[in-house]
Amino acid sequence: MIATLAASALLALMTSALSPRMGRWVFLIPAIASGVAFVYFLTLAPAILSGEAVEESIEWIPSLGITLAFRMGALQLLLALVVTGVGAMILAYSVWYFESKTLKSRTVGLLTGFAASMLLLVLADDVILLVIGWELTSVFSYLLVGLNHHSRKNRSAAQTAFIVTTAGGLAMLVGAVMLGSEAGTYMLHEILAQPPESTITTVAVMLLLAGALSKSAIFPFHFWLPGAMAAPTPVSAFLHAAAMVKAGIYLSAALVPAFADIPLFRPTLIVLGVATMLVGAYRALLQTDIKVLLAHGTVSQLGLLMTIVGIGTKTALMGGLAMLAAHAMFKASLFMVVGTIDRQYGTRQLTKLGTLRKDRPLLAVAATLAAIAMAGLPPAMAFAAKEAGLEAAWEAISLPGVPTWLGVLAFAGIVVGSMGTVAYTLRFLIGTFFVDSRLREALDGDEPFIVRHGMWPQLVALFPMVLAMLGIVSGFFGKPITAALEGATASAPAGEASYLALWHGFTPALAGSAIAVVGGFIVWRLFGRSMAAPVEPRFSAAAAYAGMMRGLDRLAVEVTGRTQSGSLPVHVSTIAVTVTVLAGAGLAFASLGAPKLVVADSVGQLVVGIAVSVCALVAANTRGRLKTFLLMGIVGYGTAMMFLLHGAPDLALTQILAETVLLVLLVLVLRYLPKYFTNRPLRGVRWLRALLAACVGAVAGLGALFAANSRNEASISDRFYELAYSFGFGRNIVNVTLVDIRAWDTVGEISVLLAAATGVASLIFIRTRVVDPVGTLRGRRGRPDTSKVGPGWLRAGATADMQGRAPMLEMMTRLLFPVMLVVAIYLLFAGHNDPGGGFIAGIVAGLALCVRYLAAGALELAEAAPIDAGKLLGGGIILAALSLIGPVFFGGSVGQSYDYTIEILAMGEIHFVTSVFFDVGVFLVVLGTVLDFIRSLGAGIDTQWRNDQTPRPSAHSDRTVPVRSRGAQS
Amino acid sequence: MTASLALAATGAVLIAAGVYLFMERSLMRILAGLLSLSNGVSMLFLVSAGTPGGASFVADGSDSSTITDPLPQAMVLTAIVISLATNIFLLALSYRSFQLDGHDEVADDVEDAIVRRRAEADLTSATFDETEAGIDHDTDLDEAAVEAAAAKAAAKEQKGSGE
Repeated sequence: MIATLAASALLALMTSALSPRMGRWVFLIPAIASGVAFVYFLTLAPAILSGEAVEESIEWIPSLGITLAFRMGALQLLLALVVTGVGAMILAYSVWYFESKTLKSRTVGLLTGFAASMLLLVLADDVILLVIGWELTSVFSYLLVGLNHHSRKNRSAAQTAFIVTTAGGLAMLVGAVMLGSEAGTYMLHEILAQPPESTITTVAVMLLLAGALSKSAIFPFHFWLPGAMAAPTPVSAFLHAAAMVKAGIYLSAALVPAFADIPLFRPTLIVLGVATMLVGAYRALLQTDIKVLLAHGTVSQLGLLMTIVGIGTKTALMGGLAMLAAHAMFKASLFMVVGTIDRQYGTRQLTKLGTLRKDRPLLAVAATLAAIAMAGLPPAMAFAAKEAGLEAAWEAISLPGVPTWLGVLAFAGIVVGSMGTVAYTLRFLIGTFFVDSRLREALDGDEPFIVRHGMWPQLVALFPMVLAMLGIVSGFFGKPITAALEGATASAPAGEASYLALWHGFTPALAGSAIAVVGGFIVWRLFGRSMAAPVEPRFSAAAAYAGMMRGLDRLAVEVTGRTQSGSLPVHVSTIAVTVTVLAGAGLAFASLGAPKLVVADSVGQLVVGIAVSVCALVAANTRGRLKTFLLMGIVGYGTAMMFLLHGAPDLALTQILAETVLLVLLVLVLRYLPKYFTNRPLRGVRWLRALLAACVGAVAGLGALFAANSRNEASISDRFYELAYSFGFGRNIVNVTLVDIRAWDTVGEISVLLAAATGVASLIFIRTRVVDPVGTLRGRRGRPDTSKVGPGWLRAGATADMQGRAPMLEMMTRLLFPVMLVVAIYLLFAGHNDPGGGFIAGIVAGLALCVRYLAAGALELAEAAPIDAGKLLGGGIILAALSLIGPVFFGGSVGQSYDYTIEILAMGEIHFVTSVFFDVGVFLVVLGTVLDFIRSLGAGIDTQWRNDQTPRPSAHSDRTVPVRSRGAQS
Repeated sequence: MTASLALAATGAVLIAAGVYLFMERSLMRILAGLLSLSNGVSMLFLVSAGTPGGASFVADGSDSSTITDPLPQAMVLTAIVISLATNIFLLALSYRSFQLDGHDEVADDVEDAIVRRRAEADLTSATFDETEAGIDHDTDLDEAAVEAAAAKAAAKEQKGSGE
């Protein structure tokens, strides 16, 4: 079973790729595969029918008790045969139906994928897996109905179908989880074997039924199905007649043996089933589009199926399942007839059709055979099935535990519903094929018959013919079919098991059938021949749904309109107020007592703290742009000082380096920006803001103090001291934490770096991050040509004009650069045991490049780093990821570190730890990031300046002249 | 564990200054606010590290009680580098804004204003579509006509690209 499922899923992926090359013939692949699967399931049949069940399972999420478990009993076998058998037929028919020219390549993949997920749904034994299959079919249905997404109507129909069935599916998921936890297992067959009894179980089963009702288009969810007919006809035939809509029936039938006696089970299914049957039949009788007629007919038939299954006895289940198979055959067959007519005559309107029996005799025969089955006339299998249903309903009237009215309702409902079915069947069949031609002319004059489709004009009728014949012939095999279904019905409660047969003698069921046929004929004569265009009823479930969606949209508009001001300061203030109120209230009500406090850990801390605070406060109230950022620089270096005072040399080092990079880049950008920030008149709002900010600061500070004092467990970092050396093989605990103990965090963090670097580059270069140092932004890659310049301290320095050169700086750079790189390498490798590490080394190396740029400009930078920063970033991430995963291939676990001691001749031993690879990855990412920043904000902006694309501050203003308006001027 | 008041107070002041600047419209001021804010948060991490001890290295004469808690340090270390990257991104954003618009002030969202107007007028959202919401499916489903039109358009396109 698992192999079959895997193969179908694989096929779904492959066929779409083949579709453009094979055209319509691509459907042969899944058709044949489906046929093979059908035969394979048939070979399993003897074993299953003798009472065994085929089970296969693979562990999936053992901690949640969820398994990829599959189990095929008699019920599942029936469904699997229907899906693969009818599926094979419809897929083969698709070869005829679709045209290579207009066929979208995804169609075949979606249809095959649907078949695979339908099989998953049917074969799954784990209820969670069943829900997954369930939702997958909904998704495929959505995509298939919306195949032509240019049409608004198709999109709408797809969306409606999806929302309705998914809402049911979600209810079902909740039900499945509840039922699973109540039963202590998610295995369907175990739950059914020992059903739990509790209120929770009742709720769970009702939730499952909600899913079943929505999927099978039972009232009040029935309205999505006719809309879904916007899909191509093979899709309608497969999803919305034969397979997907049967999922709800399948689930209900599966639940019957265990839960039919739950008080609400039978009334829900029967009442809603009968309502659906009548609504569907009534609506079908009014339609002039034969496909929509069949769609409403399908709704009606699904109601019939739900009613019969809902009676919940052995006989009922027998009738229901037989009807399910029969319906799949005749309805798929009729849909194929409709598809053929639609393709060949370009219309589905009863007002234009009517005399097709002359043109298409074979098709007429196929349609008639299928119609006999649909109307439930002997000798079709559908007749025997309906008889069994009526018999079950009759039994139910006198069954203890079932209210009498319910039995009566079921019986009467089936009879009246069948009456309607007979009537709309006649309307369909006569109206399409057998209207007297004179009458036709009287109805309307024009003859629309234009044949659009030339291939196999007559023989195409064989596709529906096969299925229709099967539906009739199987009627004669009541006994073996009864025997085959016994496995699925034996465990159902109550009642004698009946059998399927065309003749039971004179029974109430036969009387019911007779009434239905005669009544149906009369109804058709009276009401079924009007060709008036159907009127959408004022009060319908569809209108209610539309009203609901509209209400939802209105609600969204109101809520958004009231809460979204669109102003950034207001949004930030909202967050600040929330922080103050919630966290402040939490602090106010916390019963922690007075925290253990010292004024300061050292005098240095106090002094630095005051200095930093003053700088920050002044910076917040300064208009000068450069001044603000220089003050912020002091805050940054002060923070580094704090780190140092706190015994954190790694932090201090990183902070100083990062602050330096930031300052350099800030100055590079600030060159082109106005001197002052926009002036803000001193208004009351500013004081309010200051107050709010002070509150947030106070809450944060107090929170930190309280948090530090409310710790009552030993810190996890107490063990880091010992772990760092025994597992990470390093003495620098902070560095080992980064590259080993919490390596996953670091991976996340370097990914952020990569994203930020890419973001910055794309903001400056827009298209490519490779800067062309000489001229236009339309990149010339690689190193600049500096071969012709004379000697100098820096090669590119000689390309700049004399005024722009700084010989001292060039000389210093020449001397400093190699030293800085050596220091970076040293820090990188020493970091495991001494201060240093990938982050620090990366910034040092980045600063070295920065110095080269500052000394002699963009050309020098290109000379120093003739490599795309993107390659450094990508390479670094890949190296870090590989070094984490690597140990797995050598039998270790993810992120495990190993140490080696390598002896090098005459140099002593080198202690080498594998996590250094990870650190090198971090180094590369950080270096790439800094390089990208200098390239973008340094060299990139230089190039823009040369092209007059930088912002130009206007005189005596806090604005710049935008590039666009400059272009307009010149 | 003893917390340092000076450290927490410094953190609080930095955060207050940061939040104050964050409520501005100018991206550059927001950047300054972010700088202050991230340094303030680093301070609070130091508070959680407790009483300062020796540098966190495995060495003779030290043990887990004599060194500063390494966990907050590891978090702050990556935070420093990430804030650097975020700050520069904001810087580039601001530069770009000056380049395109001549200023770097975040204007009120136009879309939000539209939604507000619609809410006042008791309208549905601009993208809401009565047909898409499910009214009126089954009156006209002339799929063949639509497909024919699509095929025609495809053929035309093919012809167009061939020339």
